[in-house]
Amino acid sequence: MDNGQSTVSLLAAAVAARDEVDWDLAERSAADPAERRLIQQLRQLATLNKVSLAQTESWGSLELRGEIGRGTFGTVYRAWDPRLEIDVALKLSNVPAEPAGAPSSAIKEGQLLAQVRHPNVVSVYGADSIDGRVGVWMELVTGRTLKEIVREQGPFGAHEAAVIGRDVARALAAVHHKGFLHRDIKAQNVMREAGGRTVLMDFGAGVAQQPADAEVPSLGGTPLYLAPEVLAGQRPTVQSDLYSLGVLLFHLVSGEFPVSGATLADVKANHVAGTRTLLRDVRPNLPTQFVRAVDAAISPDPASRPRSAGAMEALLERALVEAGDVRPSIKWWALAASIVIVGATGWALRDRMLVREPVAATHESVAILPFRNLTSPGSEDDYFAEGITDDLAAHLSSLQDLRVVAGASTRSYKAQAKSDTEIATELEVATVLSGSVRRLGDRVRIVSTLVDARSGVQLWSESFDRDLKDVLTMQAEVARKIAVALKGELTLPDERLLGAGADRNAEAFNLYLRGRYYWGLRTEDGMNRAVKYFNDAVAVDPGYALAFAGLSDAYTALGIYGVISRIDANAQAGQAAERAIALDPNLAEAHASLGYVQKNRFEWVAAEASFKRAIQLKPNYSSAHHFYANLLTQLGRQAEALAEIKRAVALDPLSISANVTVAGTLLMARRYDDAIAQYQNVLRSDPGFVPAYRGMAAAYMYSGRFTQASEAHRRAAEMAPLAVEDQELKSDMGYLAGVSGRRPDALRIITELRERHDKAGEAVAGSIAAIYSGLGDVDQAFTWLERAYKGRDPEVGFLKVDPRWDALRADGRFNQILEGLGLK
Amino acid sequence: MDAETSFELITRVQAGDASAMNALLERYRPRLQRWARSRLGRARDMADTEDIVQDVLVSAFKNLGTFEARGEWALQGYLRRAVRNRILNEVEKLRSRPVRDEVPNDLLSHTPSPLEQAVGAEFMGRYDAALERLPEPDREALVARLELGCSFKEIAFLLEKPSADAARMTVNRALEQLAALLAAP
Repeated sequence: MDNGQSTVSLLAAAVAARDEVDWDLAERSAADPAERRLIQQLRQLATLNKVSLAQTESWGSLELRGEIGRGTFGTVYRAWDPRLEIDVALKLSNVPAEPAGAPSSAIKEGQLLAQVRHPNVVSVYGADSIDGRVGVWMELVTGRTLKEIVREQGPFGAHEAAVIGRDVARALAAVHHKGFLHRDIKAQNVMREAGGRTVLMDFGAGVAQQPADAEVPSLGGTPLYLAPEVLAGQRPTVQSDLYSLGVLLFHLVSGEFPVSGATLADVKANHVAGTRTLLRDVRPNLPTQFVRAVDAAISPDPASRPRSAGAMEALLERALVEAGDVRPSIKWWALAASIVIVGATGWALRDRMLVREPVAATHESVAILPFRNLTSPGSEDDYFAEGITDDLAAHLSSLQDLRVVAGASTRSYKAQAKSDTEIATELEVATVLSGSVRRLGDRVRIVSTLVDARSGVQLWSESFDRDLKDVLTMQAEVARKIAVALKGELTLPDERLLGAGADRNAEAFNLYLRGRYYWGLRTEDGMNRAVKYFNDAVAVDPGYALAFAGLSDAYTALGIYGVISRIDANAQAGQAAERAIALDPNLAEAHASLGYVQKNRFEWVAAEASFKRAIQLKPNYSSAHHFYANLLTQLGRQAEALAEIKRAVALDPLSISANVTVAGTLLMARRYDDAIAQYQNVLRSDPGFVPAYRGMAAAYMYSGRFTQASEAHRRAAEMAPLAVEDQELKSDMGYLAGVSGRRPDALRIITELRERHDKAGEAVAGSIAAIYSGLGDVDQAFTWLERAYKGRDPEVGFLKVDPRWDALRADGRFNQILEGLGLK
Repeated sequence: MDAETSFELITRVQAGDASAMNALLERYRPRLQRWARSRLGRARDMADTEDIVQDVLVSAFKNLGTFEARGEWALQGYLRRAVRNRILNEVEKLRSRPVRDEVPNDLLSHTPSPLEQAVGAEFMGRYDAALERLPEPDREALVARLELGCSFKEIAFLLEKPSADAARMTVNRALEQLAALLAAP
């Protein structure tokens, strides 16, 4: 043999190297039976090696945890990212696609797509080629594709389709903004999470936008969704993506396609011949604006289509508004319903909550399922039924000692075939209310049933028939009957609360609901819109105390997130809250709003009194418990804080801000692992929620896991946070650099923050003090902390509890500041 | 080799350094999970195996004395034995539980492991016996290469060899010896 090595040695080396060996040939060529026997053993060992390696697959640092799907490109796996401790989806090519050394175009593309960050676009985390396999890893989205939903439930109503279309248009705008085209918009590529979030998936065919003279890329996408000019061989454009979106909407409401054919040639021929199915023919009673939007998008002439994804979004937005204009008598129902539908998009926390300590499920808790529309399912009467449901929920929520789970938390059950008992168990309620709505001309019939979840026994059922114009009073009546069924007798305050709002101006109420929805989003745009809607509401109805309370909360949020100066925010918020209380001294919302203003002014005693009053007036007001929890944390009363925030989440399980506050409360209680788990829960529901990454980083940081902290900071920084989040993030990064011994980095961040202060006058003292604390530069830290204290920097409100101040605690100056703050 | 040795990391873990624990888990968890799965039947489901491996590793890293004098390979051998013993214990616990309706019987009966299915229980028995007759560093190097999916670079680290090539030579030689032991009548 070569180099004097025996066959057996060579084969042993091949097995060790995991090389392929033709074992049959090797056995046949054995010199004698003894050598053959040796070769057979090696063969067995090679098999053993292969089987072992097949047991857990990993790719780079990702551990593969099961297959999700397969396609021509390769396989999609659920994978575990041990660094961030989250599940991701990993799309892995089956075979080494490119010769070694050549940079893979798939990787380059994946890396570029990772720049697209939008709540309605699947977040691509990265791409690489490892061991010859090209992979792209991304956010793990759990839900169903629109294709599956249409197949299982039939076509969507126009309203729901318009909401989805608007989300996809927004997603496309983000994709186009980064200079990409999607090229494969179709029902299979859009997913819906259980909570209603719409996610645009699969960039398999995505390409960069190219100049007009560039080469035409190979035909991507699915023929039924392709624009005629692309089928004819022209370059894909923004307009061809919008064409596909139009086809998607057409398909969602009809189950059909505008231009179809059995083969690619048929489809092309039908395009050339102009053989099209008209949306008006297949769905004659769709709202006009919706049909217009779809028709514009699927126009054969690219120049007649909307000019951009944003323009398409605007058309669909108009269709949504129109839904409210069709029948003036039900206008506000439709609008309120649209708000809640939109509100349902974004997060689905139900199955994932860490906070599992069950709230005592007495009779006095109820889940309100969406009422079924029996008039003509799929029409705008759907929203009428949803409006009825939401209003009932609003009425019942005002009752004392009754926990009501409704809205986003129950809406996802509409599409699921779960029993009342299953639903009640998941939502931890004792009773389930369901019903139906039928409209016949000007008459409305509502049938409603209340079931005891444990026994399945029907507690109450009744049918109501009224004129359409009396529907408002009918609601109050139905709510009253349900309340009696649930609670036996009604107390006087209950009677009063049930009646409240029924006499209010419907338009103002609608504006108020919109304001609350946008406030809940906690985005810059959302908070500004919230202020606008609350202002509009009090313009329509100047005596509307609830709207003033909302206004107060919106200003507070604007200040917290740094959109306007905190001093202005607090002044405006204070005025609005006081106005609300003057108008209605017994309004819980107003006292809670005032409490928050007081908390921000470090008026701890007054703040606590306000929160307690709010909770006394309306024990089911989730935000009051939430705000109070924040105060208790700052006061160092961690156990009480945890109890309050858990109560808030029990009342509003899907609230992202309440859920992130659970984590924040655990963090300040120094229960780091629990806090991390809860932040991960929040991030699974909303991977774009920057504060959750920041909080998770803090938990890692405070528990000495610096690498993971740094990784979480990087994620947060990638998400284009609001200005103030960015400053806080900088502060966190500086603190981390300080405690982990990267002094130059820490000092560089301090310089950067000071520049910002000099340029934009931002309040940076607290942030800088924190970094010096991390560095252990106690004197510098105190210099800046004094400034922060004098400037009422909110950072100092957490002085008593936040671990980042631990380095200063032993110093007398620290106690003086605490004393000055009334936190001693 | 610039990576910290597992002993350095273990010392840090025992001084309360959580990041050292993470580094150790990243090093050992995937390999031992692979090993546990290929060596076990489907008696326990995958999630259980993962929990057990994690559990054994964490408690070992927290409580282990020093193996330093003997080498990284000794730690790997120790961890493998700890995982195996723990899983056998778990199965035993299930078996000795009073028979109840809710414990399906097939859960307790022996399902052939993936390796037994591929090469046969008889071969696995001979393989384990032959491994026992090799010097422990060689044994761990072979297991690392054949069963744990380690690279030669990782094996060099395990055996404190200067290079991946040196590790490759050791594995080649040990594999030849193993084949000879297996082929012996």
